[in-house]
Amino acid sequence: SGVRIQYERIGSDVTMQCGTLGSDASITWKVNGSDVDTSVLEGPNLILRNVTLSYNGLYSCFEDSSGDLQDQISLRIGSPPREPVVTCRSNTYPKGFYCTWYLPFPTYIPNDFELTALQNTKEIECQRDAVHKNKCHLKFYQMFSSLKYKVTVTAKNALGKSSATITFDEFSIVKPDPPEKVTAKPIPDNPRRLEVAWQTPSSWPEPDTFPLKFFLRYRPLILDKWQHVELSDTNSHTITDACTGKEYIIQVAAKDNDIGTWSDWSVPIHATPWMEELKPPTNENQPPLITTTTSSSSVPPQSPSYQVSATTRNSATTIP
Amino acid sequence: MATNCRDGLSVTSRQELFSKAIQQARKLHKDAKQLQQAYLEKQGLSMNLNPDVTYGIPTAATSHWSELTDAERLNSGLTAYRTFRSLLEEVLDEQRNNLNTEDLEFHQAISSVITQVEAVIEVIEQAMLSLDLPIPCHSDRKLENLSLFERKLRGYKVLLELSNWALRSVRDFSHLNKK
Repeated sequence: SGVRIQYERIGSDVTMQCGTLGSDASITWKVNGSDVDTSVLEGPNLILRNVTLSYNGLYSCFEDSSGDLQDQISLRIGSPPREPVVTCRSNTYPKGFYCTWYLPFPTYIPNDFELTALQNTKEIECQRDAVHKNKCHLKFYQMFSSLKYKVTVTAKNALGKSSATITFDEFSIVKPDPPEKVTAKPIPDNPRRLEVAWQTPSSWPEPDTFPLKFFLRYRPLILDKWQHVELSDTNSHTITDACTGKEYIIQVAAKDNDIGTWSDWSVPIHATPWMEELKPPTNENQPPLITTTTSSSSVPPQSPSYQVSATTRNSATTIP
Repeated sequence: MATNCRDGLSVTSRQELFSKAIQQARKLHKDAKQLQQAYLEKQGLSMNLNPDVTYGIPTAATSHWSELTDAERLNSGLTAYRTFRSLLEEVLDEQRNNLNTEDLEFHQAISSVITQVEAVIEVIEQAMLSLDLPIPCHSDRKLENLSLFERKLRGYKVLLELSNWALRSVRDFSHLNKK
């Protein structure tokens, strides 16, 4: 017959029995192919004290008289699950929400999870996520409800089970994803301005009816203190108090106008405001450069052609 | 068939009207939420209170919000806020005469919310006019015979549902404003 699995708790004393053989049988044990120290034998049984993970392995027992393999046991040392940590969140309000869970302590053996969601007495189905095994998706059964949701996750393995329950109302779990495609551009001739733009997170289903407001924060790379501005009804903003010539780090967060909490910050982007082109130093003893067409000195600093040739040193680098 | 109970209302531009309505509903949501928290404290009720009782209070919960027509949105809102107006007047009366007789500031806060409810009723009626929808007549609520504790509970439930209704109205008006 095949290998049978035996689960045992870390730190416990374990008795390995060789199939159904009687106590008078003469047995030889091997673990992972190697002979076992005979001091741990008690008749045909193998006694393992205060086991640890290192005791994991394939245990085989043979009858001495025939040399026949009598039993094979895969010993798995682990722990029963402790209370799972459950979080529910809606980043697709009002379409639905998802719940995720994890075990704060490893069990070293396979675990199964079961989630039940209730709104008042009505059970709501949770669709398992196709990719993440500790995640499932639920629809808001009702909107604008004062009845709370109750989500219970039960973790189970061969050594025991444990569960955790959270209760929340529809509004408190609303947390959008961060804004997307954040860009920041210098504005020619404006050494203290940066034009920042972003897009509503694509996961947010109805921005017209469920508008988001935004929180922009920016600071020179060399400083720690952020400057903040909260914005509604817009997906762009012009920073007008930037320090000339300093590289800036910029992030944006989003929140439903009326409920829930702020998203995480967007991926930071960097940009430096526009800077005047530095004119090359002119020495007395060096004759001015005479070009065949027009001499640069005859072009007034502020004429557009001169401006055009002044390359903007700074270009916004966008980290998608 | 509902007869038109309001005529002669000036119809302002639709965009302007719904933008104003959104702001009013948003403020009502915020103030009703604050009043709800204050009510819990002043009445010594538990923060996790979730009274599964109705007392004839309009519940904002709906499972088919997206499919509602414009008329259904406005009509259900109007009916709800008219009911809230009379419920809040009863709540204010109970606070003044029984549950919290000395707390004038709290009474004022309830009165302020009543005024805001009336303003939302006004703007809904204007919206219905602007959409050529008949404005149904209002019939007064039947007073219920409740114990003191039931009245205390009901007051909380009124404010809980009112804040949810106000939020629903923000979404309704935003939805109507898109058209």
